[in-house]
Amino acid sequence: MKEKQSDAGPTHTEKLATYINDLSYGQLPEHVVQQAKLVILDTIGVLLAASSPRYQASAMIQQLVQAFGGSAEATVVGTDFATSAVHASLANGTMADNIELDDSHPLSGAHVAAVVVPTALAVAEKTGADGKALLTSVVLGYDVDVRVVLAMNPASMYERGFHPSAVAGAFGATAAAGKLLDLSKDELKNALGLAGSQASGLMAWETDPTQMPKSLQMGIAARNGVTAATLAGMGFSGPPAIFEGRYGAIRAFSDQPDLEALSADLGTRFEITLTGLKKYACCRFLHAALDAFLQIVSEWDLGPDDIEQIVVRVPVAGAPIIDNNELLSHNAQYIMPLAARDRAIMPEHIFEDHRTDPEVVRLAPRVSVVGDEELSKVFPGRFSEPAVVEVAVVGGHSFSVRSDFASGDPEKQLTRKEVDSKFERLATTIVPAQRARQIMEIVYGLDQLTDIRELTGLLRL
Amino acid sequence: MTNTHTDDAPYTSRIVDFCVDFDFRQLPEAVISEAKKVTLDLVGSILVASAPQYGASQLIGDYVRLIGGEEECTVVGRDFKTSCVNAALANGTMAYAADIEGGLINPQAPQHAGAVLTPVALAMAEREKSDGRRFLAALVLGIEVSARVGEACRTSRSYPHSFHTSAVFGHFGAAACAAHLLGLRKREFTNALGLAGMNATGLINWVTDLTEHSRPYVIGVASSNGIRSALLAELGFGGPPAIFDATKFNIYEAFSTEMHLDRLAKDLGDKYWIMDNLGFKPYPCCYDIFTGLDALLAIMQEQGLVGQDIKEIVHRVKKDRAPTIDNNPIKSHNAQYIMAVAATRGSIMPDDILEDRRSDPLVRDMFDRVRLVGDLELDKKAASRPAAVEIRTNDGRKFSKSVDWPTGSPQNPMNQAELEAKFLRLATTVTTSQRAKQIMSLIERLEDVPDVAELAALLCG
Repeated sequence: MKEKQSDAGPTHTEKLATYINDLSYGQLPEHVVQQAKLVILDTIGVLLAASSPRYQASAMIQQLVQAFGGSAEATVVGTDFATSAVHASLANGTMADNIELDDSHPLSGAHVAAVVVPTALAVAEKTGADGKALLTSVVLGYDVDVRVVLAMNPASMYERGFHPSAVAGAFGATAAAGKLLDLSKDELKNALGLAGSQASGLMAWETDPTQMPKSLQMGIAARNGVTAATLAGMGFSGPPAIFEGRYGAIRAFSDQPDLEALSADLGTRFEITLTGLKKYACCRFLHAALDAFLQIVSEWDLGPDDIEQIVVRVPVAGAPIIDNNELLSHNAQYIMPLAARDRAIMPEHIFEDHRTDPEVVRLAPRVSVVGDEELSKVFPGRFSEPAVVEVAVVGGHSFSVRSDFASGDPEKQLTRKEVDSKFERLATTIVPAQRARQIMEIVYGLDQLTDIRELTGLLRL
Repeated sequence: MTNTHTDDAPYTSRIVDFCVDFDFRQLPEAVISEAKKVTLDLVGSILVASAPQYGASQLIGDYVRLIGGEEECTVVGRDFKTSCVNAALANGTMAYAADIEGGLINPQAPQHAGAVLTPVALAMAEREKSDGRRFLAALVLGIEVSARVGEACRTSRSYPHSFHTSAVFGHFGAAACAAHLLGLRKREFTNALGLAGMNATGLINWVTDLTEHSRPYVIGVASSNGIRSALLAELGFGGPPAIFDATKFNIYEAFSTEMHLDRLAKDLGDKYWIMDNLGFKPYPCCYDIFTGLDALLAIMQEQGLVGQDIKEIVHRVKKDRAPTIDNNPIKSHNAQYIMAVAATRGSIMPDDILEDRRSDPLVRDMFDRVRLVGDLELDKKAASRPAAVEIRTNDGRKFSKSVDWPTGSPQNPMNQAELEAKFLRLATTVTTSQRAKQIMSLIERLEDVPDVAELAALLCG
């Protein structure tokens, strides 16, 4: 029962608490600030679109937190009410992951924005923080969240059945909330301890076709972070070195712990710059192919009627996953015709069934998926895959484009223009175009914003 | 959307069928009587912990008041109501704050089931205006589910992967308890239990938190999370359909190192876990010290000794039990401290855990004269935590006594009169003796109470 402190210097918990406590906006390099703005804008767009009651999980989580009631501290995005930051983050975190357009951090596989941004927005609204504080807290959320995943080793977590984004998310959310609540170093240690006391997330959602519990876990991670930081700020204590020792949190969720990863490169490697924003609301295995295909159709200005044949070449292992899959989001024959028509793949393409649209009826049988041995050799074991797309045009021409990376990969980050266009598309499903532009301006000017409520007020209907 | 198929989820299906059909009318008289004992003991334990000197209780009460919520459920000892999830978080935390409450004490799979579940039944029955019968049935069902999941995950190690089993398995019982009071049907009940598993949590790392705030907190989290799971399921939220089965990502690999599916539904409906497995605590400390206290206090009483007569106390326990209680920095788990207080003051009360009595020179002096011995001889005994105590007096006399089964254990139970005396002792620390008796008599006839809100009303501050 007695915990031995390592004789050599501070614990990793201590180092993280110190980092959270010490990091100030002024220390953030310009490109980190810029990336934080993009991540926040992207997440707000996703949140707005996801708040539509046509997404069942969103409608239900809104209904639940409304029934709980609470102090009107923070906006539930896309509704006309506010509630406690604790329950607003539960609702918004659930929604943010609900339409499959939130980011993922390739090295860790973690979905960070869906947890950390709703947390930061809710707590910042509650405290009336300024834009710089919001940006700093989101950067910190990434730095802590990703390091916890790496320390736990995602492969080992999956082995045990734990969802890295959910388990580690609680710590990332705690870092963001703790910074905004201006916790002291000791309070931050307690907050991390309380986050660890209730961190959770089984992978069992994989067996649930509604996928609702997966999104809920993001909301719960966000809620846990706000709860832990709020309690710690009130004087509630937690285990003082949650990551270490015989009963440490890293060992609880992983059989291959690497505690050193917790505090590696703090202050020099900003994880937010390494995350990938998501361009298409469909299976990751289709993203490189969509990049190649959209390059062809826009370069040659092709419409669906101009196309005779589409061949999608992907690595051998990936082919069966996207070839006539029952899930619309994983079905190349369904996705490519829609991309030819709309030049984007957005949630409505997945959540609504377009199989009887004339373009899909005509083109679907003309899409073939080929497993290509050559492509299998390019990046063995990578999550996203290279693709070659060949398009035969009515009248005889054909075009072929190879895309080694998918948009959102670290090698192929989304440009500001791409982020803006995704944001506008998503946001305007809920708010008027003028309001969407206003939100965009405020987010790009976050470093000048004195009260975050100017932003969050625009997210309420 | 696929639904639960019995074939895909045989164990989950068995448990859910049992839960859905569960009815007060099927319960034997003896089961109802045990459930009332749990209720009485837990209400007493929550009341005593609602006093201002309990830091965790005060802070958690302040926290739920701060975040606010629908005024539907009582926070014990407070003058406000809040949402069911908030009330259960606060009452669940208080239930384990004084560490004096009864629970499942079967040596195979002990759990603080009363502490997790009584607050759930209380909050949901108040919210749903349920009668005493539904309350009692919900409590029995919650204990049943927690115990069976605990059994199915049981290993030879107490805390596999550093998880606090009471909290983790309590999530399932809490969801079942709440779902019963909501009257959920099969599909929703399945989802409630699945959702409970998705975010089941609770680390044993609280042993490093000397303030003991996070120790009871993990219990309150389980109570609250269970309710949230049931409410979401009621709204139609999806959940994994086979949470108790050996699916790819299962609870056994996540929270245990063993899987005993056969124990899950063994004698289901014939054997109730609440029977023969309840332990009630005469002392507010770790169960491992009970036999030692029984022996010490018996010798003192039989020989008419007071503290000043005693020169030395030798406290022998099983060899493998000794490390847990050997001068543990947590006072409630510190055999030398507990025995010294009892020897000096003739009893051990909750306040003796809160305040360090070693500020009293007599206790301090006695503390140095208690010796704990891990004795291989005792390992031969069938009893799980036997003790042998030897006392040497200043005038050279020697006394010794062995106790196999402690007071309050199923083998040596506290009788109704002892339980009532304990309740009055605890309750009157915060309420009048008249009110305490009113509460006691109401619980005594709980099956005839038309609305449990009547009980809740007596628990307000």
